[in-house]
Amino acid sequence: MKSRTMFFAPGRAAPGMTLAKAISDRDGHALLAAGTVLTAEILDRLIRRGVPTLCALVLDARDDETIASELANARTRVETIFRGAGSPARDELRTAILNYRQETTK
Amino acid sequence: MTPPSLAELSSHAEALPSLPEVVNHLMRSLGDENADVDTLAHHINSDPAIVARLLAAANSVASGLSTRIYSAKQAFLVLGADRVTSIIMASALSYRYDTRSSGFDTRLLWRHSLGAASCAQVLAEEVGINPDLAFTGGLLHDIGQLLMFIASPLNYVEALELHHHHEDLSLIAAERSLFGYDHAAAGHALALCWKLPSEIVDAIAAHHEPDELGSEIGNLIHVSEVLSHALDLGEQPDNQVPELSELACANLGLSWRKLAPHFAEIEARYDGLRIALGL
Repeated sequence: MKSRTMFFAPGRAAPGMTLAKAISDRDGHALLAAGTVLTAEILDRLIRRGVPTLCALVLDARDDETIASELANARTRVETIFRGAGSPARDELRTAILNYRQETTK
Repeated sequence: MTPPSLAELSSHAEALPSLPEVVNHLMRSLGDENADVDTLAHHINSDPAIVARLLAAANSVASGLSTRIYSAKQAFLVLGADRVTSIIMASALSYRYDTRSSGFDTRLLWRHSLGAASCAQVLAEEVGINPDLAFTGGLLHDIGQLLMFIASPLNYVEALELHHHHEDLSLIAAERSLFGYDHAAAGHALALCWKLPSEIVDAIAAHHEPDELGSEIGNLIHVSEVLSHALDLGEQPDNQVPELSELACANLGLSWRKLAPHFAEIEARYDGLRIALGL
């Protein structure tokens, strides 16, 4: 089964998920390594330490057709909300958002 | 009916409920490393409605916790001062100013404000600005819309409709055509009336046209608002990304390539807070 990475607030993550990225506190001290399987106790500790978000691997049950359709919808949505002309800075932001949506939808 | 002039607007500010005392206190203590938990908890406890909303939101944010949060002080100890401050600010403002009359839905306003605040908090960490101050600036940046609506509801709804029916007419242009000023100017007047910290006053005044004021926090809130539209936070119908100032980005030293890895984190923060606040 394929998997994909997603960000969650610790209160919205579930035990059994695997960390895709290491977690550090605000001062840069390492708290948990990538690959750690989350448990209720670990999530409890992250919430208590005020960690705002974590990046975890989740199972991806989508088939290729669904992914292609989601990619097309993501592109259309970005073009819709960026309708109208704008500054080069706005154009750069549109490119960054488009790349981000394509990467996270795949 | 003629809308009030900008000079007359401050008299309408009295029609808005004043900021809860605890919000004023938290705003004064932003960035104060000597602010202690007992004093902050004491101020929060003086407003039972805020305590109730803090505990509901804190338990929602911390839904994975093995124990329930049952006091303001415990919320500080478990979640930390930064997160409690963010929760109280957002909760108190959206609760105190909740209007859902036809044509103007404050729920949408607060969702958008929470989106801008989430962006501001993360961008501030990147550029070395106090993230709590940035969060509050993001929450309050559109408060002028609320004042203009309270002062002249029919004219304000007309401005909103004008903007919605004319793709090329920005909201601030529609406001200026009917009122002679825009919500950034109205928010600036309200922020002065409320004696908010000067950084928040600047953030509100500069969020659409930051180049004129040239303040660091004004640049940050401008970019944060544009980013919140670009990330589609706030579930705004007819969302359209507004113009982005080249100068504001350059002055903050922002690079979208470097910031892109933070987009998912911003969305997760916004999502967690929105659900916690029931918005």
